[in-house]
Amino acid sequence: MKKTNILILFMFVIFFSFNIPISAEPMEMIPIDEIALINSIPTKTNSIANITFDSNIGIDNIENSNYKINLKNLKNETAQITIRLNWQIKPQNITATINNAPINIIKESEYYNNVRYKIQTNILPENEKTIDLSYTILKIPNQWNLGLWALDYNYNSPININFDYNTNEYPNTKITYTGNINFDYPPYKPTCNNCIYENNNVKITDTNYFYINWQKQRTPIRAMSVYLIMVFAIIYGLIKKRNIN
Amino acid sequence: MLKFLKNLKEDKYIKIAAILLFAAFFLGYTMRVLDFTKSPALSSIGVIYPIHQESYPHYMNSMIGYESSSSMRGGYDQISESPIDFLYVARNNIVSSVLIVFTGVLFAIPSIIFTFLTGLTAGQSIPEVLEFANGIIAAKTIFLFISYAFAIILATSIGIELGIALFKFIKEKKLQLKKTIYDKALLLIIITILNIILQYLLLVI
Repeated sequence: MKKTNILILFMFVIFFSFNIPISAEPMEMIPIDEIALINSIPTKTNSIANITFDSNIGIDNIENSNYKINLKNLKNETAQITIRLNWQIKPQNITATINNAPINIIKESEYYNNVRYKIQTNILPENEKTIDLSYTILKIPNQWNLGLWALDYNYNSPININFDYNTNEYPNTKITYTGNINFDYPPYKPTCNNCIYENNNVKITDTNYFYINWQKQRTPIRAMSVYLIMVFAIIYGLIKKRNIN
Repeated sequence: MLKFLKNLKEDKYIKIAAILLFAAFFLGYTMRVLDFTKSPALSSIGVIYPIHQESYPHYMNSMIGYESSSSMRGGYDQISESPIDFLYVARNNIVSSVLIVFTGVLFAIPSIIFTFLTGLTAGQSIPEVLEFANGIIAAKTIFLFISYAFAIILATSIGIELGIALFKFIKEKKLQLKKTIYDKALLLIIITILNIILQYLLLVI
């Protein structure tokens, strides 16, 4: 008996000795060239993008969005603007105009989970331009957490703006979002980052980043039907066995 | 042949394996259908339950409203990072059967655990397929799961029998294996080959 206990204790010691966490070594400090850092940080804002938008998410999860992108080039140099649009799936339709004149939308990729378009334009020195962008897209749920009773959705801006100048100086762009997102159904458990949710409506005011999560409730009719059949079969089996015994 | 099937029906190890698989399936199904778990996490072990991986891209496409196109259908298992072809199907079916049978030599404990995990994973996957896939894919997946379950039940019963025989051999110094174990092994080989052909025909082609 005593020998067995010693053996068990010995086994435990061996087992836990393999599980002792090894503390990580302190991180190596990388010296930063202070002068290079100071030179790379722009001293003042040289481009501004004011984005105003109005989105509607229908009961069928179709999102209709109208964006107005106001771009200001404050530098004394022509700016090359690239507006990148990223989605998970292909939008049903998309149009972009400058002063009601349509502009070309370049398709970069149209693969599932990686749909990328871009719009390119130039802005003269110390000038501004407004791009109207509207699109219709099917909102798809987050695909690695598929609830059967509620599907998770999220909304963030698909727009990414780059100002490029011929000089190698890093452009300091200030991007602000102001807009409204209206839901045709009451979103379940909405969470808002840099925005206010009220009465099926989300308000975003003067922020450089926003993110909205919500759920849409559903009823798993097919899965529940099969489950109820299984439960009734088990209950029937139990009653039958009980009567036999 | 009839006698053989009757013997199979009365085999206690087959009954134990079937109860084990169904209990795990029911537990997994309950967890998934009531949103206790939101994804069939164990399906990442493709060997244990390969069918879910193959059906996954199909039902995902049907859910998001994409037209099923050849470029997006099946084709590639993103978790094991291998193309879904004949080798993939054959490997998953053969490895899962061999794994369950031969881990029986470790006194049947791993065989029981693997069978339980298979049932749990299948139970978590089927409600998803039922809900999000179209009728044909759901029917195909359920049919393939039933044929796969036969192989798993047979493999588990062999594994348990092997484990118990080995335990008795250590205890009584006498190795005794019933004749039915050889019949079951042959039947398992036939069912595994049929499963590979069926899965290849219904999921890959």
